[in-house]
Amino acid sequence: MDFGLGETEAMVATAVRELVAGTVREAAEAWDRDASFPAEALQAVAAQGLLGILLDETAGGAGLDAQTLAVVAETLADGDAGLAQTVVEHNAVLLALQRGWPGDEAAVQVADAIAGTWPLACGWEDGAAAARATLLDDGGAVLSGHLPLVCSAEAAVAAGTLLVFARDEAGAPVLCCLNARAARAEGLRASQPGPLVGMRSARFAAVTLEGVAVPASGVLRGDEARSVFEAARTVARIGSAAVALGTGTRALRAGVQYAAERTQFGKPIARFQPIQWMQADSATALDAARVLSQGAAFRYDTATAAGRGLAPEVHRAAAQARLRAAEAAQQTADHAIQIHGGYGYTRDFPVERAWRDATVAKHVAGDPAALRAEIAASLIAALG
Amino acid sequence: MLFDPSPREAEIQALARAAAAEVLAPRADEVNAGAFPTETFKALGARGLLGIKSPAAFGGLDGTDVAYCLAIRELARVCASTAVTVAVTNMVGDMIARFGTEAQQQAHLGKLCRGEYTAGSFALSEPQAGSDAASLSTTAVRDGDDFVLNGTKMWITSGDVCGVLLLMAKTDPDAKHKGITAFLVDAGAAGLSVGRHEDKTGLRGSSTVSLRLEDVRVPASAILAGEGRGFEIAMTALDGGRCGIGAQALGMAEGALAAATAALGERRKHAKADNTLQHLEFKLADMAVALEAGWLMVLRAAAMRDAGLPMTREAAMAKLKATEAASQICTLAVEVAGPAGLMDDSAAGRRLRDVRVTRIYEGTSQVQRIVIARSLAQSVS
Repeated sequence: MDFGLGETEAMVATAVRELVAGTVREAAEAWDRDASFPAEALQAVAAQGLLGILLDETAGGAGLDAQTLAVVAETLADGDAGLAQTVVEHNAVLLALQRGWPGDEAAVQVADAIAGTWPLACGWEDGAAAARATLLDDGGAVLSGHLPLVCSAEAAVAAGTLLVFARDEAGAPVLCCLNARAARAEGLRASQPGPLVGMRSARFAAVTLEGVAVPASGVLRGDEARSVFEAARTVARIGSAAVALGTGTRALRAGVQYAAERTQFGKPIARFQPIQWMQADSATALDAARVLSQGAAFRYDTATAAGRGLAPEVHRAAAQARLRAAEAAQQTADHAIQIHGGYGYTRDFPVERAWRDATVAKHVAGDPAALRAEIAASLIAALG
Repeated sequence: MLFDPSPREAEIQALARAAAAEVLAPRADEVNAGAFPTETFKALGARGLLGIKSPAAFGGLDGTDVAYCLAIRELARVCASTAVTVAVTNMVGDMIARFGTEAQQQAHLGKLCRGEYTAGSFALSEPQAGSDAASLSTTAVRDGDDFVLNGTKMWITSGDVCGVLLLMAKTDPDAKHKGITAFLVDAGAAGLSVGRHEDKTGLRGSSTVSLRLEDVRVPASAILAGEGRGFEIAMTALDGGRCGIGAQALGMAEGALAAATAALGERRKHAKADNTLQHLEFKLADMAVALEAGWLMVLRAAAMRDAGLPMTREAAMAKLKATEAASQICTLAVEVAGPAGLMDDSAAGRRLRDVRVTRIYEGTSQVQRIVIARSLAQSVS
């Protein structure tokens, strides 16, 4: 098993690193302060062909894999976690669109989406508590519910495509594609009373659905709905894990640099054992989480390349990776703040933003409770 | 051994609880958004809460350290930003009451306690002297009957709104901590200027600034307790201050636990299966245990101080335990609150941001461990 980057991944990583160094890192502070959506940066990512990473080249995508998505996400998050999360969710939703709606009409949307014309979004919650679908005789559906944490929600609702996973009255899965450009969806509203504590450029908001009518062409049901949604969510989790790792790496580096420069008690604080241990633990936690994430991406890619469906273990691996990566990022960022002391509590130091970003990273594409519940359910199901 | 407060301590706690509800709560949102509530301090001063341990003759409450911790916890539960400003003001007053001359007490204590000064400031930290407090570089050079102060102070709570600063400077740059002297400096002193306002993660309703001292001239009578005693005063202040910060952190945590319990109760009403929320209930249980442990340690340290016993180790232990526990509780509370808790200005999001600094100021968790470890080593040697 090769843990290094392949040739293509390495090339992509270099290009993204240049993008981060060139524009993202410098702009990130303002995006965070203003909680503004980095539309231009999304276009720049699109120009690199990175909004359709997992799509076949015949569909206009890059024809790459989840491992590449993870590399892109981690590298972007080293500059700005919100932008990285937006790119991850866009890629995941686009995959669902192509898999679930491979017809001509959808192809137009896919082309627009790959070009970064608007961001794509999805509420990743599962269950009747999130969205309910009333099925119509003509194959359409009416959606009601509340999706509390949707990336790029306002932009996606205003201009683009929103993917909604719902349950019908009997609890069966329904996946709906709301193409607001094709038909204005009445009853659909994104609401955000204020910005989140972190990842602010991702413009997370709640989406409320009140009797939103979806035509039959936008509705998938049963196993097909479940399999398209779960595949996209697993990709989103692999990507979100990478976003967390990039955020953690940013914090770790800031802490290491600061500790080398800051002198107290007559020597750099990097020479004090408690500081060293915090850094050692942070680096170990991040590396362990990265191996989990790479493993999940590897399993996803292997199954997809072989044309197999995704086994429950693949979904479980992605959930575990997302859970552990965000915990590692939060621990690392917390340590890095502590190493900075009072300076770390001010917005002048990048580590402060990383800490707030890591707080949000624990909740994207599944909160810790939901992830643990899924992992446990998958273990029980595996008993047969 | 019931750990119950005395009737007078309970009275002061009730006074603080009422002030929190009547004075702090109506303005808490505005204050948390960054407004400094000057009028609040007049009102708290009128109720004696800016001089909890100071003599009643100066407008204080003649309270104990236990009463002080009870009061800070009540205030922090409602508005942590206001609580920290109150805590620092009390700390300065306590030092003047303990170490000040009659003239110094007459000059400052009444104004501090009654809110005429709005706040008091404790000016120890410097850009290059955070955890290593003894390495300060602000100097005080004797010039006839005066001292002339030069240097920069950093992270000074209320440095721009206070009436008086308890400021540490080196009168003997060659001697380490024994060369540090405490001065009572009027906020309006010529040559004293406010630098930048820190844009902080949390506690946005407390003012944190840097200060520049350029040939600030103070009379020798502004020295508190005598030349070279500044470090001793600072450490005495921090012994009590650390109990107060522990109480402040636990006040936030208490608010977080109450909110999380209520949120969980609400979710339970809608949950179908009984076991779907059990992991969160377990976490609530852990939160309650950690809160209780931290609180008992804070109370013990405060009670030891009231009894005049050495309690540096116990204060460090209490601050370490209380602030680490409070941070965990506020982090868990965000998890329980769900996505709404991630909102920057939600109660859960705010507490998470606010509580983070309690593991940093008045001695980081690492500094507390240094204090505890040294004390342990001394106890066996």
